Amino acid sequence: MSKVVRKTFLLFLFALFFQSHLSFGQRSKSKAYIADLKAITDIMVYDVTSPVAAARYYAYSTLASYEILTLQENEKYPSFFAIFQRPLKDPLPQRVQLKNEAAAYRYALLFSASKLLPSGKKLIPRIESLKQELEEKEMLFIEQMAQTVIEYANQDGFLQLNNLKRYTPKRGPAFWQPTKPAYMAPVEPNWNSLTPFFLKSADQFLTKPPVQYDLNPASDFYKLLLEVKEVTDENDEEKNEIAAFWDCNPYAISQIGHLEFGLKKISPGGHWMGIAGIAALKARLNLNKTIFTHTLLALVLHDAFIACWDEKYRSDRVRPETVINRHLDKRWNPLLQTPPFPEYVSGHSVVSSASAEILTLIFGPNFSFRDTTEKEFGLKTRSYKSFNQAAEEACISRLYGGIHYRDAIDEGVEQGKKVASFIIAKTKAHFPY
Amino acid sequence: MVFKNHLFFIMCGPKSILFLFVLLAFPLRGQKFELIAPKKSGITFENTLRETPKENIITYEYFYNGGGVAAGDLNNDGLTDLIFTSNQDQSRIYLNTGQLQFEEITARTGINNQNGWKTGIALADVNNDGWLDIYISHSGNYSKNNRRNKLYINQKDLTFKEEAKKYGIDDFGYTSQAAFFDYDKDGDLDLFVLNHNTKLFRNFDAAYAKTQQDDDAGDRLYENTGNGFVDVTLKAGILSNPIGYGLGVVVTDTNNDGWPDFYVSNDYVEEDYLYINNQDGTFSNLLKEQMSCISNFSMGVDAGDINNDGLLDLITLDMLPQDNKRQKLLYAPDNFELYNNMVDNGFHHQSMRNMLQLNNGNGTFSDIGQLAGISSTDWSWAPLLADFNNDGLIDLYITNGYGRDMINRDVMKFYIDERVKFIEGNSDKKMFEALQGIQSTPLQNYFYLNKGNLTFEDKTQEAGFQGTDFSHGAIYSDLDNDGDLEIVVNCMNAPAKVFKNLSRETASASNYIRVKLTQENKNIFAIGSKITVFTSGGEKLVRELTPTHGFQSSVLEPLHFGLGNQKVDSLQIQWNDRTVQTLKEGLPFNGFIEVQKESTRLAKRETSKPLFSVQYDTINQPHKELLVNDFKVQPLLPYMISYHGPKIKKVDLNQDGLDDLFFTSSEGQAPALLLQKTDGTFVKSDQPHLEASSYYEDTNAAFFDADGDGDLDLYVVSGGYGAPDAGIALEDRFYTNANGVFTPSETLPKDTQVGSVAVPWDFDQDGDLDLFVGTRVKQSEFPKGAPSLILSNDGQGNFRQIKIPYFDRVTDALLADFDGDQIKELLVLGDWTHPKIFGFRNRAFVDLTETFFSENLSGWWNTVKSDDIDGDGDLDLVMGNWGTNNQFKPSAEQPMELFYGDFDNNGYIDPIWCYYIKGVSYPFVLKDELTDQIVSLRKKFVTYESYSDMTLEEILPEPQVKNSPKCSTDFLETTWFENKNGKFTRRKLPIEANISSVHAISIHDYDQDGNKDIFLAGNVPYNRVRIGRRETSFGVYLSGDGKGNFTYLPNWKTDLAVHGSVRALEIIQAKEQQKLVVGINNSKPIIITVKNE
Repeated sequence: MSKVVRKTFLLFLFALFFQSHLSFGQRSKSKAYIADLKAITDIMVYDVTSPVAAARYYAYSTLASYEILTLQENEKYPSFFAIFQRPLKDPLPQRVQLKNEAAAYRYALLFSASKLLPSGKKLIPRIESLKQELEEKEMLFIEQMAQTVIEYANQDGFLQLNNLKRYTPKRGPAFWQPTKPAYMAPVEPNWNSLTPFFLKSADQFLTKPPVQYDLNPASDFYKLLLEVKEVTDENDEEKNEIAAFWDCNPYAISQIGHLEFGLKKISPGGHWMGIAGIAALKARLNLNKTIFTHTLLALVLHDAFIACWDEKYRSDRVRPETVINRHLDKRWNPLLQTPPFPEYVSGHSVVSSASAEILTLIFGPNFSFRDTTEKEFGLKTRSYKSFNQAAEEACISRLYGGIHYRDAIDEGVEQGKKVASFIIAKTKAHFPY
Repeated sequence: MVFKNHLFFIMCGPKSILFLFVLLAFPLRGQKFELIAPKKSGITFENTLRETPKENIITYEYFYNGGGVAAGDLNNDGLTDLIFTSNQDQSRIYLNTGQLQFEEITARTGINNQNGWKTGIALADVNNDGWLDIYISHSGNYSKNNRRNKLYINQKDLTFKEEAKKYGIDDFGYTSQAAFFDYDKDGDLDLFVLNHNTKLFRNFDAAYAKTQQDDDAGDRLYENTGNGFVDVTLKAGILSNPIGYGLGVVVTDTNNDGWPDFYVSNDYVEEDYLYINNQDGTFSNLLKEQMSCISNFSMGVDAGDINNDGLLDLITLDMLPQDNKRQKLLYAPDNFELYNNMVDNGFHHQSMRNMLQLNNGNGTFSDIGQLAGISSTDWSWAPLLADFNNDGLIDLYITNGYGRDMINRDVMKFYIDERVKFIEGNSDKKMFEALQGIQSTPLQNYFYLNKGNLTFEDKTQEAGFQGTDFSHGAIYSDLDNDGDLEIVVNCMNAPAKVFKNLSRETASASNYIRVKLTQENKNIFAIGSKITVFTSGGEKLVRELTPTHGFQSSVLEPLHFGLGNQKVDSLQIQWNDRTVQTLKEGLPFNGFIEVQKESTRLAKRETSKPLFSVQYDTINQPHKELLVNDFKVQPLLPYMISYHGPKIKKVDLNQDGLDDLFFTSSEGQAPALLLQKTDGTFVKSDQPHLEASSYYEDTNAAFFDADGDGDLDLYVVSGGYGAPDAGIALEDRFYTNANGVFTPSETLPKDTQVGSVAVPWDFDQDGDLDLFVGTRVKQSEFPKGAPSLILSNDGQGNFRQIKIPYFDRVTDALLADFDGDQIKELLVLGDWTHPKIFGFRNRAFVDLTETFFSENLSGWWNTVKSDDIDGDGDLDLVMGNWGTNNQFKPSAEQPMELFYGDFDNNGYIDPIWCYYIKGVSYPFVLKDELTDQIVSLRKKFVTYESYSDMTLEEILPEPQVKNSPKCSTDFLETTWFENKNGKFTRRKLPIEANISSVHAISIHDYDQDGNKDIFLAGNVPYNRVRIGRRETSFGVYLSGDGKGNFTYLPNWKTDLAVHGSVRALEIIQAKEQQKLVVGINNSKPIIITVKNE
């Protein structure tokens, strides 16, 4: 063998090895990023983070990592700040050449989450181990970026929420009332005062008003009410399983005598972030696209929740269990514990349909997957042919669970789709869908 | 050293009265109890609790409630024997062999009480043979047949036969305790069985369950027919619903009609029951009518006359810990929705703390637990009211402790979820294993000595009760017959405790008398009788013979009276059949007397005539409150600013000599002017402009001639706090009087403060009336001060606004010439500040506070009235404050402080209220409440433990605390100030003046003896949930002697009582007499005609 041939062959072998190694490396990098996100999810579960707050934390921490990515790959992944409704006031930190990009993105994600989340310090071991892979000036740069994003987050109205008047349940049969067992004050009644990322305002995509409260047996409302009761009373195993799978209640309260305790699960947003991770790994997305996918999904979740919460406290509709207990059956309980906020529209429907739109765009309409996100909470894995199928199930699960009327689901789906479509249209020119 | 220092003589008197005489009482110092070691006493009993997967707190709700004790003479040898129930093992009987030594005789008594879950013990001679029988209650996670209560009939030889079934009282309910009493006065003993549920109902379910009847959980009343017992529960009007979690019952005659009433304490949302005997075999539960607020998780209960006024008071125990750390770990954050849900569903106002319900003698009780100092003893079980130091006043012993800290907030939020996810297996097994990791905190019992004057002093340490344990049932008994009461306590997983009382050995003035009652035929021990001892010092000591006390425990032995250094003048026995027997001679001093029933004379109903003949009428101008919640505007407020009306202004508008009335109103309702007619009724004046002002919330008003046209014009102050976006609704209004029609003036300068008071004052002495308008606060900015206003009049009713910054948080003001120089001074009150007096001299406002007040008493001052109280010709002051019936107890050394910086830099004031607990100042606010408001602290305090012992300096960065604006309060007493040559000297009012906050004062010679009397009223209906409803006052009447001394006369003596939250008291001139008008929040005003009898 001539020298040249031998050299070429070696080069070929090396290239072969390098290529497979690269793809193996990309997958493990994505995996590590997704594992970090799961660690963040776990802390939110521990802290009992409300669904709306969880979406906000996901959004700003993934955004921090994405904006580092943007400075490396600006062509393909332009900055989100360019298309957000609210401009970034502070300058972005001076770009530093990164040696270990994957570590840098993860560092940005974890560092910003550690600053944002109440129990963020639980991420410190992960952050510490990443530090070995980064240089001092890289870390400084990433931390500056995270700080810029957090500063931006601090201007979204969140810190002003506690200045606003707290909610007092209105008098009147059609209005929401606190529900058993804990009669908690409703979650974040002023969430619509936060600035969305893309939406012009919280009420940009107003839903239809809810079907009017009416206890006349011939009325539409009464029919909706009966449907909720009948589904629960039917006690169908499959429906019960679906309801439990998509419960996503961060804090279901259990009471045994003086012992009262919360059983914690991921939030609806957490569930969909989990699905995004499953899909990214199955589709073998490279790290950049993995980051992009999660960031976009988180941003959309946050906007979707703002739109949904705006409607919840506008219509302020009473939950099915309240009406059923008052008028049909004093002892009736829904299958799921009614979450502590007004009924219309269904939050899970808004965010599930919005999430499915985004994920379909990225992974395609017939992307089947096995959803293992609820396994740790003792629930069986479920398989879906598409994101839309999963979303449809998630939405209808609220009826099966006895916590929503059907119109809140239907209108929630509509609102979610509108929010997602708007954001897709708005971002289409910028991003590699 | 313990002295055996009494010699007993037995004498047989002509009336076959047995005397036990103690010749020697050795006076030594101090008051002490000595814990007798089990080896010495022979009492080795221990309530051993074994948690198993089958038997634990999850499978049985009341697993940690412990056992009971009973003290009674089982063999009629004159020595009191003891019985203990064990939850899971054999209950045990101990024979008293004298000298505080006991012999365990369970085996030979034939009592086999091993099986099932045993709770309370009741004693009574059920079969009328003169020998005590034993009734043991059963509950637990057992089948119906295995939880039937047991009746052990005394066979007169220390053996017993179980005959519950035969007598018809083998009740299968989940029983906590039982009480024998003769409710129908047929001579034999009937039985109340106190049951509880083992399933839990929360508010919503409970409202439904309240209407149901439940055989397993419902209480039961049995009538003794002489031929067995029959269930008369429903017939007698006894509630028997599934949500009665009965933990305590005490039989007592609360209304002194000679018929036994009884009080049932219920755990959880179901309120307690106060059953008043209708004297016809039925009862009426009058709890809601008679008590404004009760313990929430009521446990044990006892009755006793704590102030020797002849009226039986009640104590109920709850779970409020005394120290800051446990409060922070165990308290749930204020949930207004949950609380309102409870009340909306028909449950009563309840707060988590011990309550001492003082019997007002007029069908009302006032909870004075906090004033008395006994409200917070942690998770408590048995209250025992008895005279432990023989001074003639009833003292208090409390047992406490709960098996595991189930309601620790960290357990709820973090621990259980983590454990349950980690443990494998079915849910029962998971929960049981998780349970094993929950901490146990043994507690120290509490021992309080009654200091008189409605207050108690914690003497736990000095008296020898410093040990910690989980203690449940307990009873007092003079086990060694030495004339003082021992305490016996049933403990969980520790030997029962016997505390020997050393009062007789060590205390001076520790005299006593013990009285045993006997009668023939039925109810030989005369249960249900009441003995009154009249002492040489004029004291009246009342004790009832009723065996069931405290928690799951009972005592039946001669009634014990401590006498202090007094002797017995006479002794009156009201037998259970209401006949009366009085003894004046042959009464022992420091001894025992047995009285045999002789009397057949029926008790004359004591009908003491009230001081006044009082006629109550209402005025048809109801005040309608908007029921706002200020805490939704500013979540860290210490209390609400709203609920300040109605204020009433009296004014003779048409100058017919009859006072007319102006009522301020809340938002949504127009203020009203009512003209008095000659027949004393009122007719509403047609005032279209006032009628159109209903969107304002009036806080006060003033009538004065502003434009010099000889008639009275009207200024109305606007305020309000809880209503959203008050804006324009905060502007005050000025109306000129145009031929009797009040017409709004356009020229009034605007203001946007929450105002509180308006006082016409020609401050510049230019001949026209200007106006001082006090500012309480700016909306959402409590407690930041905002300037008050002077409206300077041009003589035509046009005002120029001058802002004066001298006063903060103004609540009331008053103009008078306090120093007799013919120039009036302005006195201004506020909360978190001291009263200030200002004058206007040489064209400037001058602070005269120091000239008039020698001490700056910073209080939560509400209101002031001025009059010459001591008849010396100058003006004195009476000032209403928040009162001392609360947790806070500030002093100059340990003030309450309110820090009000913008701690999270979001442009919003966060008031943080701190007060001292056991010598250290902590924030009132709980972790979740604080981190909900100051978001940045969420990271600092994730667990409740991490926050639980933090002071404000540790919570916030030091410079923030240091630089924070703050105000403080060191004095909460309602008080009067004597004017001594232009100097105000603080004078105390009787302690009753402080049982609630005072918001209205009337100074008037009610009894027409030529001396001014004082009537105080107030209350606060809505508070932070942890503080609870404060409607403990029914009006406090203080009779004056003209020299500045006041005597409290209870409501029953004066017949003067007002319910609700009073905001105005005005004496008005009617045609031939003066009347008292009372303005009550969210209610109709009442008008009271007081006549001397």
